[in-house]
Amino acid sequence: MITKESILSILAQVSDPEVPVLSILDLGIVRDIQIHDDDKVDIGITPTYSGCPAMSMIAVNIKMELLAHGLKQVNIHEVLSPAWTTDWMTEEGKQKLNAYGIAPPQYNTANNPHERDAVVPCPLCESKDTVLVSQFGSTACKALYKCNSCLEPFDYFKCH
Amino acid sequence: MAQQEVFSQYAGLLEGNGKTENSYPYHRDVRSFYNALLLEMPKGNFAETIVKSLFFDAFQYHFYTALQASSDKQLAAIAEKSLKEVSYHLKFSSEWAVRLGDGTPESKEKIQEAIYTYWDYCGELFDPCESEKEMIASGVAVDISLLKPLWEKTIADTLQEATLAYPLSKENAWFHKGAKMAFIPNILDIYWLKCNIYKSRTQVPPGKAI
Repeated sequence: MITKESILSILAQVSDPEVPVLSILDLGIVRDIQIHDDDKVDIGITPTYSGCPAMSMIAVNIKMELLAHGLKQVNIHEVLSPAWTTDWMTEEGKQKLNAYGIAPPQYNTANNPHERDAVVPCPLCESKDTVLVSQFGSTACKALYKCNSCLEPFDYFKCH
Repeated sequence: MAQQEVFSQYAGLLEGNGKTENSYPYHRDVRSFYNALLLEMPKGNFAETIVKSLFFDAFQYHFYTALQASSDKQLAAIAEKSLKEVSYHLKFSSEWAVRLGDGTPESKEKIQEAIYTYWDYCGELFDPCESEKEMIASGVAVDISLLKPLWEKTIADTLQEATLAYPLSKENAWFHKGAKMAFIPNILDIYWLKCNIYKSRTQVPPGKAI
C-alpha cells in the first residue's frame, strides 16, 4: 500500500547534489505528492534557482529511488509558483547546514532585517561576534562573513 | 542564462515542431536574434560593466514585477521566480555603483562617464515592437513603455546615494535603436521571440513535465 508517508520516507533518502548533507525534504523543494488509484505517483518539485542544473539530476534521483522501492510509474513535474523560499527549509535541514559549515538562514523572510543588522552565529565556534565581509559569497544566495572570535571566514545562507 | 532557459523551454513547447530549449540559443540564424544594444556593447572597464548591469538589472526588476500579472500563467510563474533572482542582481550592481561613485575621484569619474555613455542605449528597452504591442493588448506581455518612470526612479535613487549626477539633459532625448536585430542571446530576446511565436497561437498548452 503506497501512502504519502511511505513516499516521504523514501524521498528523505534523496540528497541535494550541491549540498549532499541535505535531503530534498530538508530543502523544502518537494511541493506536491499525488497518489493515484493505479499506484501511479505524481511528484511536484520546485527549483531553488531558475534553470538550476541540479533539478534534472534531482528528478532522476527521485525517480530511481522510488522505482527501486517498487513503485511502477512515477511522474515528476516542475512547480514554479509559489517561488521557493528559505522559509521552507526544515529545522533539521538548517542544523545539518550549520554542521556542514554554512550558517543557515537566521530569520523568516517576513521579518528579515537588513543584512548589515543580521546576527549570524559562527557555524564553527558558535560565537555571535561575527561581521559581514561581503553581501555576496561563493554564490549569490550566500553572504561572506568573518568570525571575530575564531577569525575563520564562513558563508551565510541568506533569507530569501 | 537560467531564466532564459526557462523561457526557451516554454517557447519550444509553444512553437512545437520538435523545438527544445536548445533550439533558440544554438540553432538560430544570426538574423533571428533580437537583443538590446545595451547588452551588445564591447567589454569595458569595471565601472562600465557595473553601469550596464545596473541599467539592465533595474529594467528586469520592474519588467518581472509587471510580468507577474500576465494573463499567461506560466509566464507569470517564471516572472515570480525570476524576480527574486534579479532582485539580487540589482542589489549587487547598485551596491557597486554606490561604492564606485562614493569612492575615489578616479572611480567616480569613470562611473559617471559610463552613465553618460550607456544612457543612450536604455531608451529602446521601453520601446515595444509590433508583435509585443499585440501581446500587450491581450494582457500577456508587459507594456514596457510604462516601466520607464519606475526605472528612472530606481536609477535616480541609486545615483543619489552614490553621489553621482543623474543625466537630466538626456531625459527624453534621442536613443540608439536596433535591438531585436543583433546576435547574442539574452533573456528578453527569448521573450520577444516568444511574442512572435505566440501571435499565431490561441491556446496555451499545459505546463511541461520533466
